[in-house]
Amino acid sequence: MPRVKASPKKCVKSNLQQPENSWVFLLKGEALELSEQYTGSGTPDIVTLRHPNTGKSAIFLFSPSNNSVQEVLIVDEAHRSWFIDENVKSDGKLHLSTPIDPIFLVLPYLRKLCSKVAQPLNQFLLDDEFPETPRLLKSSGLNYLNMIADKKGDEELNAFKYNEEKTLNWLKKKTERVADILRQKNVGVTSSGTTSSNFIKTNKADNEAYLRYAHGIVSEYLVDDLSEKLLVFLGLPKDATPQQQQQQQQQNLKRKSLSSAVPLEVKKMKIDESSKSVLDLSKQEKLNSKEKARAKAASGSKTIMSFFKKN
Amino acid sequence: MFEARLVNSAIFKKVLDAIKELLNEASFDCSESGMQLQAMDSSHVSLVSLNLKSDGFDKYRCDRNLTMGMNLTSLGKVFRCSGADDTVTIKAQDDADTVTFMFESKKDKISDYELKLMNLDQEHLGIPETEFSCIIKMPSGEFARIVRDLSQFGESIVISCTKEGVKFSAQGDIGTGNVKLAQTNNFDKEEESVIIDLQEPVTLTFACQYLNSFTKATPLSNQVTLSMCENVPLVVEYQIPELGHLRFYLAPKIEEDEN
Repeated sequence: MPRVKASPKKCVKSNLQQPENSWVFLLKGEALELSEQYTGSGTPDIVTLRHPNTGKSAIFLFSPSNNSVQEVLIVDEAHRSWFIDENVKSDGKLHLSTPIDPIFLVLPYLRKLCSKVAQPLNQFLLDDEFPETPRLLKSSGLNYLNMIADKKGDEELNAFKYNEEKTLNWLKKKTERVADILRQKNVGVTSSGTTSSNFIKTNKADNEAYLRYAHGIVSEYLVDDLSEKLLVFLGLPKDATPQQQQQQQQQNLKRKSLSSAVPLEVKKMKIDESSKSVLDLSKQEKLNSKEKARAKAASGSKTIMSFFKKN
Repeated sequence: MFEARLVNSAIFKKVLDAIKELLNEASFDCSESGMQLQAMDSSHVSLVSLNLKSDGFDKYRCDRNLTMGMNLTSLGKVFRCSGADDTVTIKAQDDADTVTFMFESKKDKISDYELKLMNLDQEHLGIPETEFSCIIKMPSGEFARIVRDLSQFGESIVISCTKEGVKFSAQGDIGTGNVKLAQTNNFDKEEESVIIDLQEPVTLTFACQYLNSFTKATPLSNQVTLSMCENVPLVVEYQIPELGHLRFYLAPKIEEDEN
């Protein structure tokens, strides 16, 4: 994804009664804006969803009307505090949120559950561990789900079947857009020697280097095997020689430093890491065997709600 | 307060056995007219609708409408404590957070079990009146047998009803299975015959697993009614003698256009 440079509104939540519960959060304005139809309480919601790359829990932010999703990143540096009004807040973490295309979040579910049979969207977008997952259904970005999947059945059913070729094409476009942005911003992506990625070079890096770098960025939101397929699809040589591998590693390292603009340690927020050790989608369902069998039997059927109206 | 007494507690137990396969928890809506339950299974493909009329109970009192959300596994545990010919009385106060089941055996033994209620926010679905293309009445045991037999062959069963009769078929890796039933000519014993009321031929595909779960209701009634119509859920209905009915709705499978 291209990094959207919008002037973020500063939204400092300061709760002086309970200062230990406050966060410093830089939020892109659109998350706070309300759509016209919306009449609810009007605060964005912070929820945990499965991260598309790691499969672990990560924090995302839903706009009040659920129509956009943002990814929350934490910039954490030791020995830092904030001044908030007259108080000192010892937790020096900076929370940042950036919009993310919800299709990235849906992709792992689609790949796992709909690669053989078409399934209605509201049937496969369920995750026992992350009960908020179905909220993605409302995000406007999902209108473009046909970029990575084939729509089956009639309109109201909203059933999709994963299409890898479409997906790779879509990812290729994403990657190329990232590469374009990198080029515009003059980000140093070549791997000769040790240069900081925000060191502006005079000689331009070649296309392939930009593309490879962009691939690294996009891959942060993809499972590893899909990332490799994308690399092949982009026509980039796999890391054939150890030397190239090393370059790739260096790029990855630099990539990390880029994401925080200044060399800080950027971490994905992880909740309760110990209890939720590496889990991939295959382990997601904690359903008992009966329910699992039933969910399997249900695939390919419309939901009963499409026939009967809610009272 | 709410109080309902059923001399034959075994009926309630059978109802419970029939629905707990599909539902983990459900809300009983109690009103003056009786006890109702409507809930979808966890995959939202089928709907269970239970109606127990108030006059079917031996004593029924419901001062205020009441919704009792229960975990059906726990409710099953309660009924496991009952004897086959016990009388059951279900009692709850208005706005209570528990419900009491009292079992009275013929031998002056009284036991009561209190179950915590749950707050389930369940959506109630309105079920439209449908003119079905065909309505099949058949012995419930026969239906259970056919579904069980055919589920060995495939994951879905095609039910096709024509004026010749009704055909159940399944196919899978090991082969295919077909069961044809013709309409019975002899109407002496209604519950043993196959009666087909056909407006127009219809063929629909359903998941075996669900049909199999529905047949857990077989002990409730000798006869089962299958109502089908194109693009409408199948209705599998078991009458509960003198008390009401238990209906299962199952969405048809989407026709696969390839593979």
